[in-house]
Amino acid sequence: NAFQVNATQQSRIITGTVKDDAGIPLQGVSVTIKGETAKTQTDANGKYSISLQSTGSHLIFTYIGMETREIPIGSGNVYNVTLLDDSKTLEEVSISTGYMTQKKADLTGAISVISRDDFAKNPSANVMRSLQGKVPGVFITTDGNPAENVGIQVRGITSMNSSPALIVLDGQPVTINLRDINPNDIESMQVLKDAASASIYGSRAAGGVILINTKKGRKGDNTKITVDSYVGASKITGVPDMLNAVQYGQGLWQATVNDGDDPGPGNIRIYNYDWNRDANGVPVLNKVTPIEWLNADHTMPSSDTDWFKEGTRTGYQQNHQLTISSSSERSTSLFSLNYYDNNGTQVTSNFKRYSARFNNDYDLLKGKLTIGENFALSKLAIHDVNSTYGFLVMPPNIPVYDLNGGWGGVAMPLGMDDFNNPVRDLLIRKDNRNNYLKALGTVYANLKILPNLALKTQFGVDYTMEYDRTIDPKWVEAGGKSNTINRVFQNNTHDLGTTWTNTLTYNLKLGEHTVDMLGGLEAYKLLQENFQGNRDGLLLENRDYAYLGTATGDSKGLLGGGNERKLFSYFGKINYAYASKYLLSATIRRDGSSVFGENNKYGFFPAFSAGWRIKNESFLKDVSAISDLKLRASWGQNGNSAPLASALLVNIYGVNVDGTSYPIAGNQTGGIPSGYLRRSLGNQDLKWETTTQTNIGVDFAFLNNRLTGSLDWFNKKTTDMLFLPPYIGALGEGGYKWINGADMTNKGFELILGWNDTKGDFSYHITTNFSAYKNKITGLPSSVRYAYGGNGLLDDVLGRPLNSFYGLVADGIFKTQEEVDNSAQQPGKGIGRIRYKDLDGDGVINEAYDRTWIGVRDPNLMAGLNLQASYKNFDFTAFFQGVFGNDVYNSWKELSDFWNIGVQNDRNHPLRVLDAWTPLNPNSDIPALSRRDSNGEKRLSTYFIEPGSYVKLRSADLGYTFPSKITQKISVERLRLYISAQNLFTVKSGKFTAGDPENPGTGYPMPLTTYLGINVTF
Amino acid sequence: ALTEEQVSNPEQLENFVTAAYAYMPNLGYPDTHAPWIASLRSDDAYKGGGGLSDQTPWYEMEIFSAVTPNVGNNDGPWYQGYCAISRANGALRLLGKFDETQFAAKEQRIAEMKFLRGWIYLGMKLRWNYVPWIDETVATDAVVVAGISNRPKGSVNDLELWDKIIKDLEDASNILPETQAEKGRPTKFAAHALAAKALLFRAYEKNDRHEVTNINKETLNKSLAHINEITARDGSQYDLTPDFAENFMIEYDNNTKESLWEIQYSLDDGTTNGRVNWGDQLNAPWWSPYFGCCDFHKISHNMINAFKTDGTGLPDFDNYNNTELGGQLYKQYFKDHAFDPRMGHTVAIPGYPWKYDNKLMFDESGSRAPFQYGYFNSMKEQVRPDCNCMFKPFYVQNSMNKKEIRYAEVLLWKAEILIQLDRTDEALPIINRIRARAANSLGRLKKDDGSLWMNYKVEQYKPGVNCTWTKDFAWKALMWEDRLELAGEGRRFYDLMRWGQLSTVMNAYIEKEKKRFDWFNLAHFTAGRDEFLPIPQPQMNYSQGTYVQNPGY
Repeated sequence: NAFQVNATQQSRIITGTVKDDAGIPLQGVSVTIKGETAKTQTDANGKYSISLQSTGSHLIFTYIGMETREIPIGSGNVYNVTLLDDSKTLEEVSISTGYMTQKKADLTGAISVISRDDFAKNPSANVMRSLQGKVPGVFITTDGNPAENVGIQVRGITSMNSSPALIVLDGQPVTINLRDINPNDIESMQVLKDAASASIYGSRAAGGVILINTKKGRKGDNTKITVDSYVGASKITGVPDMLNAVQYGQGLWQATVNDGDDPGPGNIRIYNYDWNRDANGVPVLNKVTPIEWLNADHTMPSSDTDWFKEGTRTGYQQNHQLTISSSSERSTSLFSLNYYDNNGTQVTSNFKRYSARFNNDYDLLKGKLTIGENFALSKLAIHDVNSTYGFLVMPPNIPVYDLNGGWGGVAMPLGMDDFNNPVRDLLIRKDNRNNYLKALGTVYANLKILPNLALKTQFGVDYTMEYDRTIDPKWVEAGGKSNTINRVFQNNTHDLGTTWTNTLTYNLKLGEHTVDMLGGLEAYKLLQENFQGNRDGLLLENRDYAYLGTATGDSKGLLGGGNERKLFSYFGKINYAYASKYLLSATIRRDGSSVFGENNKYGFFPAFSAGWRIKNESFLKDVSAISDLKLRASWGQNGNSAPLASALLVNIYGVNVDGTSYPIAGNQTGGIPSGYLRRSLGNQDLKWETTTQTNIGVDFAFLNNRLTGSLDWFNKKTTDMLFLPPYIGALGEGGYKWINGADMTNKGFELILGWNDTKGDFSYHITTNFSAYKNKITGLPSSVRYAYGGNGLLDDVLGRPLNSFYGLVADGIFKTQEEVDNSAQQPGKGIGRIRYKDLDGDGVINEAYDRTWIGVRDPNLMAGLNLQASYKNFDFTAFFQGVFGNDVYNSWKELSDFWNIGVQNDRNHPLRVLDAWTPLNPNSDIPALSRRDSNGEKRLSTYFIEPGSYVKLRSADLGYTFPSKITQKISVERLRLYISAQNLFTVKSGKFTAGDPENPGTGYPMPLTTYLGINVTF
Repeated sequence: ALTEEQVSNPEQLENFVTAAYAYMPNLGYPDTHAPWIASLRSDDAYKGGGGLSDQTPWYEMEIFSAVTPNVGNNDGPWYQGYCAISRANGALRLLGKFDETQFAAKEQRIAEMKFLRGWIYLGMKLRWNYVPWIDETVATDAVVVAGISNRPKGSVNDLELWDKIIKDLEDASNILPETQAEKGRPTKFAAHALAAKALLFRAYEKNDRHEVTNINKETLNKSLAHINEITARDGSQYDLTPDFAENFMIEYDNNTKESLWEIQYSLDDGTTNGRVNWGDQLNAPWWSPYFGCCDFHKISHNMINAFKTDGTGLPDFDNYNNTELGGQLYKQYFKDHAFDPRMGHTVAIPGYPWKYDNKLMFDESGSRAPFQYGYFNSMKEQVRPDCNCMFKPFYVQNSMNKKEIRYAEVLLWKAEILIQLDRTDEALPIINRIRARAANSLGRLKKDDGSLWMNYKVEQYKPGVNCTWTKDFAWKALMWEDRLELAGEGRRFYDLMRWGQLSTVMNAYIEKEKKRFDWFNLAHFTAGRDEFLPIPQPQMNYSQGTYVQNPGY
């Protein structure tokens, strides 16, 4: 064969990239060719180039701590390789699946394995924020608050009440906010989505399970020091153009004349107007003049304040991480320190975290016994404020400060409404913060009784202490608003969760049969105690002075409480594989909880799954286009008791001096007797809410693993939902009673597709994911049929998504008197007002008969697109995320389009409001300004329902890794610099009238953040 | 948290009784049953506040035409009323479990709980007409409770509901003592007064269009019997205060002969913010630096005109409302006319003293939306800004007791009954006694030099001299006297309802007010509907068909 001869006789240059399983390039990997002498090492980007002479048949890759791989050399010249830890081989990648590990290839459940790149390259204090949009089926919501709270929802709304995803950190199930965990310490994450995967966690797993393992020292590594630092700056974007003081006066005038009122001094006392009526009697404004002084003392002139500008700033972030890892033959250790500081874009908002981690393990008894611990301490300080509403509504004619340096504020004597100076509000409370001290970790011992039989015992602690001291100071605004009482609050909570887990695992391999078995016991206890005190009368409002003990006022409050709940569980799991081809798995868990009565104390949660690895069948073995193909199916049940804080078996009474005490003796002051109130009614028969989920999935890889992906379809049904229904008023106080009431389903699919390829120095990796679900309420107690929308007659939410909107249909605005006269009877209708549709055609607009289902908040589709590329020493990532087909209740529009439809009158508005309908602007679709709401336009209607679809460039980052030739001179193993940015742009529907469909209303706006960062390893 | 077993013992009983007292008085503005909520629905007052959309539900109630079963601030008070009733019922259930050897005060406390329950039901009956009767015999179970209709099958009218309320109050009057050392507890006479009030309302029997079909003399006589128990103590235990003002000053809390029962408020009492009056928290003027918020409960121009007397010191019955005081006209208006002195106690007027303090002139800056609600604030529920009886972070709550039953009102009920029983002449001295006290209440309405701030002039009815005391005239005088004496105290709407005059009076009022404030253009009182608020739609839904909506909604 001439071709072969030709090929083998020519010397060729073989190139490629070597990475670890998290996609991080490996430097210093030794590359040789079997049977030849050529030898090289990978550079800082994991790249190598080696010359093949003639006879070599395999490339050999070796690296300390990693498996050695031999790759057969074919006709191609590019070989990209992934090296795995010693412990793993490609076929044997083990991932945690709950109390045990399993070969990735043998998984039968729906598990998303998250690559470290996914969160390492989009830094945030909360790892889930970095993952927004990247994990199919995991819906994450965020805002721009530096407090870094996120909402996490796995596969739709599992429960109408709380059903949080369970976090399992280093094997310990914990109830934490993920901002408590330093993302730099995270080694790997998996999300267990289907019931079969999650059911090993039984009664806490209905909302899905997020498994997190922290980094450890790596066997074979010498002492290694890594420094990761970044600094960032953030700026809010999309700030609305607000009315300035003159435009505000104009709007106020327009609203007043539209109402037929005289904008003279009796009605508007803060502006003087020069106006007249034109030939048609239409009012025309010639000149607006703000009055000179807004207070009688002449210390507060009319001003022109941009409250968004005054109350926001460039935010700064910094994160510094030092990690030291080390290992010896019989031990590994890792120590890390982290400091994170985020000054938010609103003045005074801040989040700070200090954390330290100590992970060690020791092999004893010749490797038969492993003892170790994973432990982290952290301190968090959070100043969680958001004054977006204040910036939006505060009238611009008011200055931040008066001429004497005191606070400016609304001119009450001139009839202005009760707005608070938002800058004053933020600044006087700048030192108030919530402080948390957290200790989180496990100690464990693992004894190999026999080579294939191991006993593990693990004790975990999840401790949070919160201590807050806040001052509510006195203040005076020059317009007359004031607070004449100051007060100090002290608050302390103590939450200690402990988990003791004992498991026995047994592995058996007989020929082609593999059996893994697990049995275990787990005891969980949560103890909570708290007290809060407050007292007025502080001599100094100084933080160094203000304590409960230094306040001297008579008005005081003292509260304290506690709670305890326990779980005791048995569980077992068996995995069977035949020739890595036919896979079966079964799980059972029995959970007993202190929150249920004797009748239903224990819940039983079974699950079964099966897989068929078709690729391993003989008929596919030689089909080279198909690298892998596996079918999966599972069925299982999970439970949920999260909505219940404590046992609710009997009628519960309580005391509350602020609600039950009465000066029965007629005394004006001095102690008064208090009494009891009923808080809730008991239910002896209360039990778990159960989620039953079926999952069918396929995993595939084609074209030599260049195209990979998986597709999952699921049907999740939640029954006997724990439900605290609102109740008939005549039942009176404390009529709340938890029941197992509603039923709901979520059906959906998830698809993830990846494509990677290398062309010379250029390699790229594209990952895209799509997911969707449909939520449907399938059962509700009849007494609450209308509590989720519906007219109380026929329409109800049954058969519809829980997040449905029910309201009137806005049918444009009345443009002529003729239209007004010919429309249905509608109290308050008139020219320039919203016309509502008379759905039942009875000639009357009526809330009972003319409302309908006008939108659903859930998206039809969620998608993410991740682009990664590297060229020589540069690496680049861009991540797009989008949701499609969701309806948003745009509450911002209440504030932007209507002069007055809320409690506060004459709020400031975005510029848009000047485009409202007037006789001279008859084509507008914004209703005429009015200082009244006689047409009831705040009622939920399609006017406020807008398309919420968006696509965002969530993050982009560009890195450069210095060649090792340079770095070695300064004894640095690896040095990478990068710039990164988050929230670069948003594409939204033209019909969406507010800033950000992800964050409608007055949430903390999402900033555009840019980072500069460095990674150094010594 | 405590279980029912842990708290069900004689030592704990007082705690349930105390908690029952504690419920109603401190309900916040959206839930309150405070009297002024009825005042804004009558011709006494406007809603006030920052404008028409400040607390829109009350605007809707004020113009009537916009009220639907979904109107706001309606479901809250309904639910909260039943919460208070459930506390009384809970106490009654427990009291029933023990005998007097275990709990000596048993019968007294049962009577107190029935008094409270009767009082709450009476208030709810006046708001919603048909409300379901839940007492201590009804199981605390949502299904059982939802099965109890507001109009039980077989009942043809509201008399059965009245009788249940009356029975509670009469049971209380049979047991309660004549005096109470602990001033917050009702006496026998307080129970007589409420029983008399309930019977008085019951006497005006109505059809489903809320028209009076019969004035039941037997019921009136029953009411009178209760009143006579009280008036038998005239002068000794009960009397009018020498000065009208003393009913509205914190200094006189629990310390007048006029008061039969007061809602107690306190401050610096071991609770976080004091047990202050949250129901009136919006009513202080918008008047820095004295008060923060919120200028609700503005006295109507009609009401002020009603205080205007004619040249002889009698009401100007027919033409009273033909003078204008809008915009800046009021400045001259108050100089040009003579007024009943009670106006000086009831209304805060710019340029005149706030609450009898000659150094503190009320001014226009206390009014937020004068072009919609005028400049006149209700003053009876207010205190002086220097009073150390306020909790005012911004909203202003004070701890002045609410004089829930005043002897003056009891006397007016008596006059009303006597007129309806054709004992017209016996009503004359009662009405004149009220007017005489008004005439004598000038001591606090004088400038520092001793002259009066305004031309206050009120005269008694002198048959043959300034009037002819026929039944018709007596009735007109009685209605007028009721209005002036109790102005702004939330009685007017229900009095007109009792008399079957709501639609006539309110539509005449609306017609005239349209010329003063154009927002009245959307107002209309629909007879047969607007006498009562709708049963809240959520409650209709929860009852799953058991409740019957009020007519017209």
